Amino acid sequence: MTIPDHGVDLLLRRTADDLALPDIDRLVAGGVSRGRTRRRRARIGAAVASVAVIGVVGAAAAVVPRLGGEVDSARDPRPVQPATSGPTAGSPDVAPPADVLRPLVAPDEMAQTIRDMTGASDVHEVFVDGSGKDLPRLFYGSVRSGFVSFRIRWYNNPLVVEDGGQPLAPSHICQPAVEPDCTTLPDGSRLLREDVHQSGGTGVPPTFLERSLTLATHDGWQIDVIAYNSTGEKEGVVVAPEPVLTMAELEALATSDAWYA
Amino acid sequence: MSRRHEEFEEFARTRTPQLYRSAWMLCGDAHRAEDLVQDTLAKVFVRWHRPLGGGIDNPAAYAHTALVRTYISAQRRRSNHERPTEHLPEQAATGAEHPEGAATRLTLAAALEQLAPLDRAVLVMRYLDDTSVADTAAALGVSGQAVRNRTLRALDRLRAVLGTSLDDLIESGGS
Repeated sequence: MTIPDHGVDLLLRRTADDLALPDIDRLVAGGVSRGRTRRRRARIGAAVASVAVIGVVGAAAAVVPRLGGEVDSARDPRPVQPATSGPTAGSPDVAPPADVLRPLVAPDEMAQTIRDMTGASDVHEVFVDGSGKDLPRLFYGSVRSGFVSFRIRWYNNPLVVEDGGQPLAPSHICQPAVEPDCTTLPDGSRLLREDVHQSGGTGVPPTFLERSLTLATHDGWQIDVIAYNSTGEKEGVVVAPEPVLTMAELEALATSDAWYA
Repeated sequence: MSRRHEEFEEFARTRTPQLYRSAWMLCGDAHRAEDLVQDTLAKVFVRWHRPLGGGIDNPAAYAHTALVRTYISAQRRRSNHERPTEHLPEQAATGAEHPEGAATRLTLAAALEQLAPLDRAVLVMRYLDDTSVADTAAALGVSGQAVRNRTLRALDRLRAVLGTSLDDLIESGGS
């Protein structure tokens, strides 16, 4: 027996029509609020870019993240060194072959680096199902009692590619044309900054905030770092008015070369 | 409030129910669907208010394309948000809903969960949003043949997951 297309059509439509709709005005208001935030960030980004162009052109790539950090917070925007060295340097739209993937240092060494760079206590690796062959490693830590997570994984999951999926390029994580917080690093890596927003989710208080950053490296690693203002992602207590790491600190973590052997 | 902003809000109120339905089919739960819709509206808002050349020829199509692209981007980034306790079950039917409809919804959501995000997006665009193969291909950045291949693969997968219960689901889905 095969599924006729009109059967799926009917099932999807009827199920969709049966959904209880949320408060539409609330969704629209939320969209407008997020849209205004995006426009503000875009204006800040444009202003920063102008300063960088007027300044030393060769240093622009390093200047932009520093200034971004100063906008986020006046506290400790540590020097940021985007990862410009590596086996390949090129376009963010080119999928890196598997053989250029840099090997990682041992998990213990990664945990120690997280401690060193953030002052975190109690950094530990969390078991992640690795059956997808994407070599995931996940670490949880606590910075001044605030929850922090760091994850690295190979974004070209071999199982997906073997299943007919297309190998991904660094550009898969975001598009600068539609996301003002999406940038391309000089080596072709792509980086998305997501500044302070509510953690969200079922039963999570609106005072729970997070700041996150995602990097797709030019050679195939995806690094996600998230800092919270609470002791846990979904439960716990609020310990700071803002997430405990600045955007500059998140970026320093993501772009560090310390993860690679 | 500017005229342009009023027009946006009018468009958003009109379009959001359908965006939400598509978002729910993509995400499989109400909370993520609401988040996806708000992110999508934010992107449309930015484009709507762009001072130079900001006009959108077909705002509805633009919004639906933004929705699926945002969903796929989020899925690709989502791994770091995955936690052992992340997969909370969707709430059962509220009192206003038909129990059979809620059961159908949960079964379908579980089946859709088995699909790759891009395959899921293809099904939703083709069968819920009535988007053509060509427009689906353009929205997702793949070829028309890839859309057809993914559609067949997704249907095969749904067939395997749902088995012979599909006819029953179709019967009860709108009750």
